[in-house]
Amino acid sequence: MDAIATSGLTKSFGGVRALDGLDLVVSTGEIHGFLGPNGAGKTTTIRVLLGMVRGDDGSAQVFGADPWKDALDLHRRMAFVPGEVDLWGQLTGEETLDFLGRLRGGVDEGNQRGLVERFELDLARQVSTYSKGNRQKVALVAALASGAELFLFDEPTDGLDPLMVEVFREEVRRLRESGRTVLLSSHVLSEVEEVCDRVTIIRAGRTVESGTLDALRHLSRMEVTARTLHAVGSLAGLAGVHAVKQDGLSLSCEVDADALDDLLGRLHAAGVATLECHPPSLESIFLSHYTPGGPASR
Amino acid sequence: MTAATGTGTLTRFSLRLGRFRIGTWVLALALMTWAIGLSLNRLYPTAASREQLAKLADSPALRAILGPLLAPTSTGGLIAWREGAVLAVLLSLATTFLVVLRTRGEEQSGRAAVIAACPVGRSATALSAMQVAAVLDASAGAAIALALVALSQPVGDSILFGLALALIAWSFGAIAALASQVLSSSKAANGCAAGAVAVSYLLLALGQLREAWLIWLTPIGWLGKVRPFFEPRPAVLVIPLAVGLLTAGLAAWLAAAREHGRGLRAEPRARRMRPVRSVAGLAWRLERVVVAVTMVVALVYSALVGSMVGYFRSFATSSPEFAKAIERLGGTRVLEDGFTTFMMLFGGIAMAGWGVSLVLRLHAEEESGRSEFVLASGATRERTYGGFVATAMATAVAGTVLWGFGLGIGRALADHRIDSLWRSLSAGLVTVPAVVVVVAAAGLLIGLGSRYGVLAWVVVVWCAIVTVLGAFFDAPQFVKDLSPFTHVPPIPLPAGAWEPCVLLLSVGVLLLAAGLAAYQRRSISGS
Repeated sequence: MDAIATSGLTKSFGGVRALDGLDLVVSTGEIHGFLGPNGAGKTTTIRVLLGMVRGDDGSAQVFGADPWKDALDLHRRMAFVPGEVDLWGQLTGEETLDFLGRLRGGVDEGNQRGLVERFELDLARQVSTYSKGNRQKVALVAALASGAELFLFDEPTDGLDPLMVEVFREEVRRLRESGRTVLLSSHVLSEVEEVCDRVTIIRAGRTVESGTLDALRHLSRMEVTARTLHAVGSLAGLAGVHAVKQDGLSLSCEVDADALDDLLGRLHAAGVATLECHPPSLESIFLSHYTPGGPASR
Repeated sequence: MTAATGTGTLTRFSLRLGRFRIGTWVLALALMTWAIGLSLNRLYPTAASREQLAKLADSPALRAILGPLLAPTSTGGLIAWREGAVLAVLLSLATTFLVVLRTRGEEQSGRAAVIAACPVGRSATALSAMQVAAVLDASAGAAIALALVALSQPVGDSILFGLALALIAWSFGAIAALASQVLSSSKAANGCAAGAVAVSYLLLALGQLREAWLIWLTPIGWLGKVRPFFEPRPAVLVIPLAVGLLTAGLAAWLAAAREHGRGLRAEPRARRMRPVRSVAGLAWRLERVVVAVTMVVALVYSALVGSMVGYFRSFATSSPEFAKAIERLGGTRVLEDGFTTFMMLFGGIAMAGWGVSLVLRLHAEEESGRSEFVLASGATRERTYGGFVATAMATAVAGTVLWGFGLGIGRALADHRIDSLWRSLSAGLVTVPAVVVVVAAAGLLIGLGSRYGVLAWVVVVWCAIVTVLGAFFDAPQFVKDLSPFTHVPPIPLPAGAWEPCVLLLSVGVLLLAAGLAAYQRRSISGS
């Protein structure tokens, strides 16, 4: 059974359509990247999955159950870290973790202590003296110590320093090893690229792409830079070859995955001196989905 | 019941967060009861003096304001008569603010999101807020009962009085919980709940004045119907208990049915408005809806109070004995003007308190880091400080004048004399300087340091104690003189009334200048 399955999900707030037919499937045990620019509907999707708001149309299921009706039972199996963590300033970090643990009916103390150490969290201080990153760490520790099956992280590394981001990634890998499911919303591509098995990209409340990173790369263009021994002739007319720049024997271009063979044939015929061929970075996939006129808007 | 899962944990948590606030309220109300009892004992030491007070209290004017004095011979009866409604209003407001803070307040700030994602029922927050309110009200009721017992009042009646106050305040807490479900901002929910308390008090006054059946409609009126220290009717307490339980139940049901972070109404679309051009413009944009609503409420309230004054004459002429008695006191005009002055001072303190809350907006701006942002964007210190303080000052002054106008309109409509309008309006105008001093004091405190701003509430409470309760405590004159409202001249304005006004205004200007100078020199704290 899929941990998360939404199809054609819509949600409007005061006439503004936040979700506009969103499809999102996250299999149990996978780390799923949830990408989109600000305002694409990532947070609204997570709020629907948590049963905080109700979808208008379409369907949403978490572990096969209705996230609105069965919120209480589902929450026992889920943990959530919001993007902006606001806590009670007059409590210490210790008291805050204790309270959040009690709401869950107790947590594994040893596990929690380990997390506090790894995230280098000073629990004796009052939360009002914490920076944004420290408040974030409290929420992360509380969630990671919960022993939940499904973790929803809404841009969790905003405000963490690079060392802590690495600790967080380590924890996500640990979750994968123990078979947990993670939905990681982000606009930080390297984060998703590093830890996620599959990715869903959304824009304006709608899914524009979903699949493994490899499959997504396949959909996109390769970047080719080469120098030939003899003149190769104009490549501009070749099907599937784009953004051609030729300067004497040097050339660079972008090529669709299925046109790569044709291009290499032409280059080979002219004699290859040097050749670099990059798979697309997630960055370029992402950009191509958000730039009007990019391949995703075909 | 799954919607209530986690309520107990949330309640223990809220009590931990609110223990100081709850303790302060409980102690303050108990001390207030005890101190009032002591001074009543001193003012009316003998049975004869109390019989005399009872006769005075039986005049229509006093009956209309304070209700019937049922048990003049017992100190408890005197306290219930003189301060029962005040205690009920204070405890009710403490309860409604606490409930809104723990429900809509948490949700609006985003803190509640962390809780809502845990295995906690959707109604748990509302139910737990009602439990916390019950702890506050029960402790306050018990402490007030203890204070009465300490004044050697019968234990049973003391407990009944405390219990009645607790249940009434708790029923208002339930109204606050309901408002928190329906309205999507804590400001609106607080306004709605506090408005319910004010309306209840007003209905009680109208009921005592004209339509006795109205008293049964208002929670604060039920306190008098319980009749502690006279012929107790504890059964009346079923009403606040039932109202509270039903309203709290409705709030819990709505909490389970609605979406997190939203009210029952859909969000309105953002409208295009005039651009904000200055810090004063920003301060105004942030507050203008609240300002408009409060002004309308203040006008209606003061007009109603004013119309009560206007009816004095018809009461006084209703029987020859009353007419004679009042003639001896100086005629209805003296009574009317005295009451107008008193209600004007009351309104002035309320407006000063409002002005202080607007000045403290600067504190919120600073703590959240927004001041830093505004200052870094090129606004000077003078403009930032001046923008917020000037908006607060203008609002408080306008509100004070409006209050005097409202009293005058009400009085003139009731007694058909245009002169009544001018007299009340002049009472409003001479109260302005005192209001200016209090708001300026808040300005000075916030100028000295963001965290000192809250001390301005001490000034407001001090003015309220000296003015409203001043009659009870024969404090040395110099202590009373510390409240600017002591220097407000009464109407009809005596010759030389302008002197204290000019003096107070000068003090206000000095305070503001010092505040600005301090604000320019100190460091600004960030988030």
